[in-house]
Amino acid sequence: MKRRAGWSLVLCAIACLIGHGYAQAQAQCTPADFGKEIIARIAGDNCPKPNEPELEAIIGRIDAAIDNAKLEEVERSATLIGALRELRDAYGRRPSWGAGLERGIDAAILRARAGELPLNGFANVRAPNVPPDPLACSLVLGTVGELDYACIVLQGSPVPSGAGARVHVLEPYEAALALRALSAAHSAISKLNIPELDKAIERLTQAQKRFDNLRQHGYLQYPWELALDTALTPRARYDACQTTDSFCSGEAGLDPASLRVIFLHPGVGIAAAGLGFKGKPSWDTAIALSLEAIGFVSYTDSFETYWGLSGGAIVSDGDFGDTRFGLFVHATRWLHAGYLFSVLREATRGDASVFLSLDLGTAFGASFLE
Amino acid sequence: MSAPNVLFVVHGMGTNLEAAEEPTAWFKEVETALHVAWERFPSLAEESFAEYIELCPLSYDQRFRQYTARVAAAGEKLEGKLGKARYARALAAVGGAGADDEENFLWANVMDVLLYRLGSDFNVEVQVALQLQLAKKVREVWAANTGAPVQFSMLSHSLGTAVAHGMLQRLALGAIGDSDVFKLGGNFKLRCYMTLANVSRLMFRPGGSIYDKTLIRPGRYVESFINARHIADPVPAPFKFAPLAWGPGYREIPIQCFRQPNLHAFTHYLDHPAVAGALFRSLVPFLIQQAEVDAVVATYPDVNNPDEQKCRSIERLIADIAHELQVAYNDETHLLSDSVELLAGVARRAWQNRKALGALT
Repeated sequence: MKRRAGWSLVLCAIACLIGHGYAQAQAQCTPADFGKEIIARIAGDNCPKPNEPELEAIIGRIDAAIDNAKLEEVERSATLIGALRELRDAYGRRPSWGAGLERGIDAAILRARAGELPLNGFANVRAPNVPPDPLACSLVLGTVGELDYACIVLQGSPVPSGAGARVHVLEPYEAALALRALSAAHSAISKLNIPELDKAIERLTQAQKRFDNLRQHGYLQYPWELALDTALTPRARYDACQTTDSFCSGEAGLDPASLRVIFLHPGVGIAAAGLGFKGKPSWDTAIALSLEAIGFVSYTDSFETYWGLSGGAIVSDGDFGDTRFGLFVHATRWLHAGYLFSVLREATRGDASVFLSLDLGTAFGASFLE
Repeated sequence: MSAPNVLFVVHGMGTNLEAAEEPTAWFKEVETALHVAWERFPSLAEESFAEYIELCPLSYDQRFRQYTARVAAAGEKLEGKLGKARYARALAAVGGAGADDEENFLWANVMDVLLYRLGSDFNVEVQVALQLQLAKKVREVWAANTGAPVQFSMLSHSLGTAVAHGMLQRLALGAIGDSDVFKLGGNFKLRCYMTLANVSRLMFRPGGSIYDKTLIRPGRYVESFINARHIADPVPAPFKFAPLAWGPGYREIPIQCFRQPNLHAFTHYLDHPAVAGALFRSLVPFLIQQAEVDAVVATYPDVNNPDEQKCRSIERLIADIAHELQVAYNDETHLLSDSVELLAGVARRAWQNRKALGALT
């Protein structure tokens, strides 16, 4: 089957390329084959291509405007809109299908004049679908029920009822031509959107970079800290979204929250004792386990660095009898220090420890430590 | 010329990263399953899949793995410094030692769901990651001289249904920076949105009904919405996604087949011709008629074990599980979507059912 279909396509293409013309093409390609080919391949590479120099010239101008990197965005838009207008004037005259094209291009140009991007006009040029488009169209332009709607049906196929004047019954060659013109217009309009799309990509890239910085260089939050953040922040963070809907949309809430909670956060570092109003200062240090009970961290715009405060306790050398309580400070992303008093043990009460945790691995990368 | 359809594919929970580079292992499996399904329909088998559909994986797994790797490193650092004392080991485990171990079921699977649902702005993070991947692909398509309109569709599975829903809703609702390019009414929408084991309602954060609030429904941001659910899959059972008044653009496909003990698997859903057929009908309606889909579905037995007794046992077990799920989750008044207990219960049921079905085969 594949081979037979392939041969018929080759015959189609050869017949048309050697200039047997429209009548010959009709003889070679039945409407059904043609329609399937047009719809399936969309631009119909293998069946007769509409050979209309005027159309090709307009498409050439559209492509040139898009490819000319020297053109400013405004000039490019103007050139594309100019080409679309030419397309409309040239093909809007065609009695069989021009009206659909005309409406679509007019809608796009009107929007462009109003200072909007010419959205929508050809957004829905497409092969037909099962619901919500209930009509058996070969091609659909616009949206059912709206002004720019057009349903293109190939000659020989049943004409759908209910679409009224919006149905255009076309011969295969005309259908291919219509598709070529519609595609050129759609392509141009899509490309007019690229500068807008680039803005979105730039903003999303920035948001992702902020999340990357937060996760790679930020102060690690354990799952229960994230859960507490969820419990504490949803109203403040998501209220802005309530005005439009219940989800944060677009820009709102695109970045990580810059104020984040510290809660029951375990850590490890070194502690030097004897630095309180009692006790002997000493530079002897011991491995200490820290637990920050509650606190916060605040990030800069880029999320590359932060500062924070918390209250908690440390245990040096596994000596739980002399758990020391105090404050921790997080300055920049790699220095974490604490000043903590001994309160539980009579003999050392009033003494204090300085706790230090230098997160060099986070600051300079794992290779630094190796 | 590029294919007239770009199908974005979004994975579900669990470790979906291969150690090395793209394409990811999960995507290869899905790609293969879609090609196998395509070949099952005689009209489609004559045509080349790639000529009509370009697959584009959207992956968010690395966002979770980046986090769990760091939690694991912190836990292991604690363990290394504190030695093997009992308290040290306990603290290290709580702190995440072993969190990046793929064998660690809790961290590799359930944590993804919990992090997405309760992990502060993790939901935003994964949505941004997907939005960026999607935007880059759309740019590539729009910038190419395709000579024809290309239509975008999306296929999502499990947790991916909630992630995709959230990110599409954000795209449809508002501007991204100064750009309205993805906003509803603009030049972008999905032709077909297919969800497998949809958990969007379970993960729905704000109050009110998702059916009323969402823009990701037929006639708005998507043209057609197809939702497939296995009757014995516990994951989409609580807060079942089943809008009643979305009109003809919405279609629900319940399935009850058995091809592997993991009924929830992405590829297990795609193996059913009713599911794949509905997707292909939506993407290339001119190539395949509904009658052909129905004919292939008619030749697809729910259970294909050569041992008839085993077949009956499996069918009975699937019916029992489906009944049990109905009893457990149909009355939603006592269910809380925020409940960790609910999520853990679903994971436990999935695990137990998988073992029970595995024992029968």
